Amino acid sequence: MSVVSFKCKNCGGELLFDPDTQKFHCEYCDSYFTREEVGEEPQETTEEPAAATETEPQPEGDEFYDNVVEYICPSCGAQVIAEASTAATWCYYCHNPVVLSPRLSNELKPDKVIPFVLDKESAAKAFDDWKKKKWFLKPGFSQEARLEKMAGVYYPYWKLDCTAHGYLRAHAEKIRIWRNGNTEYTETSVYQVMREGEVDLDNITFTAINREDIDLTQGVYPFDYTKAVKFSMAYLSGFLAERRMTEQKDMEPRAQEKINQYTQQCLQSTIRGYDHVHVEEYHAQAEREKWEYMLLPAWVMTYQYHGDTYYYAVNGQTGKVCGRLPLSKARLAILFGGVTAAVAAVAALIGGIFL
Amino acid sequence: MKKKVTISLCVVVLLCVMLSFGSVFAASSQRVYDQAGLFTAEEVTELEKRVAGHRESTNLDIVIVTTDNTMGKTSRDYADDFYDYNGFGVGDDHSGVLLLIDMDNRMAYMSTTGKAIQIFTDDTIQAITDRVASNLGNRAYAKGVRVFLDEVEDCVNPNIWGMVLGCLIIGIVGGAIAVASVWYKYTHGHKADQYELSENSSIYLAGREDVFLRRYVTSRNISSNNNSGGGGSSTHTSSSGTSHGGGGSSF
Repeated sequence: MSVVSFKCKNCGGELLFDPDTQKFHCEYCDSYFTREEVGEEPQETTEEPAAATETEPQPEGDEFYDNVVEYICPSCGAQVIAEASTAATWCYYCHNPVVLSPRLSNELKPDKVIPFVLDKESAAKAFDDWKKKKWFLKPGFSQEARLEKMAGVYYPYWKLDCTAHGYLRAHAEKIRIWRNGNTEYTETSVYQVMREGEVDLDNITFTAINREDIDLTQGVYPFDYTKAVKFSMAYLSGFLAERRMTEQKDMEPRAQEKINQYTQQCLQSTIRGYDHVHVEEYHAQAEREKWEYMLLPAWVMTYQYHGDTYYYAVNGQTGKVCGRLPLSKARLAILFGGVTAAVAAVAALIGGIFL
Repeated sequence: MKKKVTISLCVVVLLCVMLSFGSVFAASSQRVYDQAGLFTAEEVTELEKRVAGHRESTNLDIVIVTTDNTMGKTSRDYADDFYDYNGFGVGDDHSGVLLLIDMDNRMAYMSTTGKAIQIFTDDTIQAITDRVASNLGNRAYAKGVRVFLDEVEDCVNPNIWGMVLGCLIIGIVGGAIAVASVWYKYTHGHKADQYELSENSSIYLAGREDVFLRRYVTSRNISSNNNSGGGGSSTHTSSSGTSHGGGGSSF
């Protein structure tokens, strides 16, 4: 397996992508390079001899060896093991960034990438700010939870833009109520409503990994796709990256489901001025689909707290945070007591009026 | 001799008055007068027992009368006279209520006397007789009476603890919903669909039709059946000169 890293043109040190300046930074000589200066194609500093590097594990059928690959670090020459889905990582020994280029080449090459905007500190701050707003979070969490791991990860996504043709027929009612003396009249006007047309749906995003952190990678939506740039491996330098594990055709059933659902919502949103709308017939057909394979940035954090592991993700572009928080039972009890008392008081008041 | 004649005349007149109501001169404890024969013997026994219990707890006399012939009287006059001439009532002001099931005029009429006039406002009486009448309409006569007794009891002795419990249960449901929604937001919020449809979609309608098909009107009677404490109790004077409140509902 060929492995690439991006080298500084001045001193030969490893270049890292710097979210603050959106440039490539050499930590050794403090030089900055633009995307163009780094070059379109990576300078493959270590084009390993095929025989030596394709040390794909021998014992076949072993689950461990099925899921990992070995590669040789271009900087220190150590043999490093990476998971099958890893596309960019760090060498365990010399801590230099490496990109496993075959994982992102040819048909596996992403169309676009949104580079990191938030650096590690900004992401940590976004997480802190988010926690501060969570009143029901266990008060001890902020102090006692131990940050086990924090990494900037480019996750693989499928993004779909499409046009769908939809047809919807509904039974709709307008209701008018008035009183005359002791009699209440209800006038119901029944309409047959039809809507037909084209619906453009943009940026329907699907996670292209199939692991347990799938919820986190969805929870950080949405991204601002207008900031997406043409993919270059150089952006991965200094971050982790995952390659896609699901193909576009695997996404099709879920995509059709979403297109169906969203198209109906769009058509139905144009039916206004009625009190009841009951859909009697609806069908939609996707007409033009444009799929893009994208790498999108997220800071992923693992915390240990009271024997449990908590995962959080911060959108690397917008700073949106998601994840499961441990709840304070005491504060929930306060909420429960307060709401119970308030609702009971209101109920008693209303009951008292009618008694 | 003259004295004897006067006494026997008085007795005859009294008997006539009693008979004019079609009732056998009853023992003082009788409170259920089923002249129209709407109840079975068991039901009469059961209702008598209930009435006695409620009389005790409400400190109001409670009388149940059924008739299929009011001899030309209105339900109101019949009920008031029945109450007055049989000498019902608790205390000097003859406090009590009477429910007349008038099969002649097909009316459930409730008459109030003494303290009961203030306890049962016109609206309350309307609400009670409405509920009774709806049962009578279904020929559930005994059930109608049971509903009446329960309503009377509730008005005199509102079930405070039942109300408190009810409010508490509503409160607990509210609290549980609040806790569940916070719990869900904190633990599962990130699993929701995050797609912003309105920002990512545009729609071009090629066909748009809103065809009027038909229109229909339904109506319903809103009787003032919210037994609110608002409103007062109107009174009238019966043939015996006693003040009564009351009201009825047809069935």
